[in-house]
Amino acid sequence: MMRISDSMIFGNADRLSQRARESVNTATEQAASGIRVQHAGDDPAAAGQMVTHQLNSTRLTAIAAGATAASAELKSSDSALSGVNNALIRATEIATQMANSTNNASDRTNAAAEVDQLVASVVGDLNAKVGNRYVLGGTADGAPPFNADGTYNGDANVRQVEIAPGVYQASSVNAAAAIKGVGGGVDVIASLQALSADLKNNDATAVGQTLTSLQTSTSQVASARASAGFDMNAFDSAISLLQSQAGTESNAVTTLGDVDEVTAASNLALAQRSLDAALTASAQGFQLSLLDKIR
Amino acid sequence: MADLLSILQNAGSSLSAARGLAQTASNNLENVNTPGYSRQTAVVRSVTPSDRLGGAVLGNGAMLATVTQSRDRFVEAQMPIALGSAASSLAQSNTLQSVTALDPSATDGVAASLGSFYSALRALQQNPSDPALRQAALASAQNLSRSFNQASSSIESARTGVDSQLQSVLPQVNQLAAQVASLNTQINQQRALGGTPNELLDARQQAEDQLVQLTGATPVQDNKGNLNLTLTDGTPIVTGGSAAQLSAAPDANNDGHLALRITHTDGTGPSVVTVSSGTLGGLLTARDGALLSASNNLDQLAAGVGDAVNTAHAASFAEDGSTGRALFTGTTSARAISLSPVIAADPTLFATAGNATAASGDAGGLQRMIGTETQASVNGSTPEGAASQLTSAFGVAQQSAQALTDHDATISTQLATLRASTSGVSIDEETINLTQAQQGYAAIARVITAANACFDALFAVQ
Repeated sequence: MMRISDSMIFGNADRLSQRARESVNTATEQAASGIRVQHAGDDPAAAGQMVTHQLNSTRLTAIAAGATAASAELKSSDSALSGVNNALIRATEIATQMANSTNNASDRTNAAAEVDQLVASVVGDLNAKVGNRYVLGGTADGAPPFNADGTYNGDANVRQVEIAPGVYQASSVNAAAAIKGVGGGVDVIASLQALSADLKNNDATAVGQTLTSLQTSTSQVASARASAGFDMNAFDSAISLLQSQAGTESNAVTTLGDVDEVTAASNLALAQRSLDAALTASAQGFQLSLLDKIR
Repeated sequence: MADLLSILQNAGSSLSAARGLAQTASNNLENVNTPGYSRQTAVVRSVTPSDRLGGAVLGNGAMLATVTQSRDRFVEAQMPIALGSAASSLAQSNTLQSVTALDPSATDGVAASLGSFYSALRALQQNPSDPALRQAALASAQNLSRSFNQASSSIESARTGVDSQLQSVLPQVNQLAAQVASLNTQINQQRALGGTPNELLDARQQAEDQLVQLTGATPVQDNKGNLNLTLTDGTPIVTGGSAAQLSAAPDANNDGHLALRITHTDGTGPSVVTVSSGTLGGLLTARDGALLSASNNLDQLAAGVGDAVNTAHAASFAEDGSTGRALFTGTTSARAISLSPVIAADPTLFATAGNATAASGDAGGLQRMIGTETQASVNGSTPEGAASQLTSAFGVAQQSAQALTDHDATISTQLATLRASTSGVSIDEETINLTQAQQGYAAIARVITAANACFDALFAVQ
């Protein structure tokens, strides 16, 4: 039989109610804040994983943001190339029409003026800007890549942006190749300028001969648009994947670090009940004393 | 006649014994809430008979033999280790719990800043000619270095806080050691005069408990009744009537943090002493264990990330085509790392380009720097892996200390309960004892009345 002293009775009551209050406090904090892993020591393994998942989520979100901007720039480039394509189609129509000997010098002079307009429009399209950057200048993106006379100020570099950690995808159109024909193509603007010159010279034969370079230019621009479209698709599909992955990583942080609401509410109710029981038991223990029975 | 007088004499002695019982019970009741008090028991025995009547031996009543303390030696022998361990783990746990710099969800923590830094590099990599993004990337680099500084400072401040706690605990330790030594002397003097100095023994036990909690010292009673105490490395802190003095001095080999020293009981010293239990031991274990380890891991992370980014940055080109600069300075530690002041003052020197021509859209340098994110630059781990390990390792230390605290507290509480069971006062029990002594006293008084009546009857015959 264990001897029970008064210090045991009061000490136990103090300890038990303290412990019950501590449980209520922890349960209240978790239920109110919704956070299960506040300090690394609350769950070391989960805390380490939370850091990894959080960094992954941040990284994937950043890559998705870069890819979104790259896709927008490619759309702008594509739009510019679409304008060039339309100009080339119109120029081809003009060349076909003006190669016919039924047109006179005046007709060809008027047509030359329209072609000059087309050149100006093409240069305007090719100097497309997104934010602060000229998207068709390669890495030389700080100044308009094309002069009015068609001179190219950009470079032949293709910019790259990540579509996955460490995996880079082309994010710009190489205008040096697509427009200026560097590396074996034709100079699109020069083709238009040649047509204009031949029209001004009223040389129907030469005008007819420009059709070849205009058609080559058209397919060259179409090829560049196809390539840009491929890159754009790569970015667009990467963006949805990255956003989904970032969401998964972010959810993992929440799953590891946050408390389940039902569990939190249940823990709180249980802790409150335990405290009630501890206080009731203590109070009843205090009530019984021999001193009250002796008169 | 002589026999009637002996009845009166015996009753007088027995009344004293009954008074002793009542006084002991009342003393116990009066000390029911006195910390460190051990209930006392009055030992009453019958007086050795000396009267004979015919062939019979007549008893001579009762007398108070002694007043003893109720102590369970088995429990008392286990108490010091339990008290020392519980105090040690509690001090260690409290110290580690106070550090929040490595909390996993801290939005301004090192891990979050590391993620933000690489995110800002990525945003700039997509559009390196954007001055706002360039400024944001440099700001995030500065923020990363500041997060390292703050985390390091927070851990260092916890270590310095331990030094302050040591200094506040030491006077108490020295005062308790002196108190135990003084009580040793007083107890020996009292014993020499005869009797058991129960109150002094209680006071010494209480001082011993407190000293053990603070230092984890081991108590040993010598054959003279002295309570001697030795620290965990075997150095005596109390020997008989002499007490040693603990002090603290900066240790150059431990970043100037305080090391414990002892001036021995014979007055020699001070010399370095190791305390590995009690509050002092727990504080030192936290300071030079988990906190030092976290600080070193943080330094390695800062150095690994800083050096890797610096190498990538030095191989890249600024807007003016210049190269070879470091982005971070002070990469030897998390405390010293900082964004290069030269680059902070002139953002165009942030080497984002991969080629010397440094075209405005050239993000080759940034790609190199982003590449450091997956380099095993921190002791064979990537920065992300190292940050995760740093958090986990410190979390394990926090959790272990907490688990140890709970475990030690359970043992300590169990022993304290057993001690209270043996040595604590029960009001019910003492009320019964008091009532019993009171009724015994009344009965003995009746004996005197009866003897008195006998005398009256005898005198009436004459």
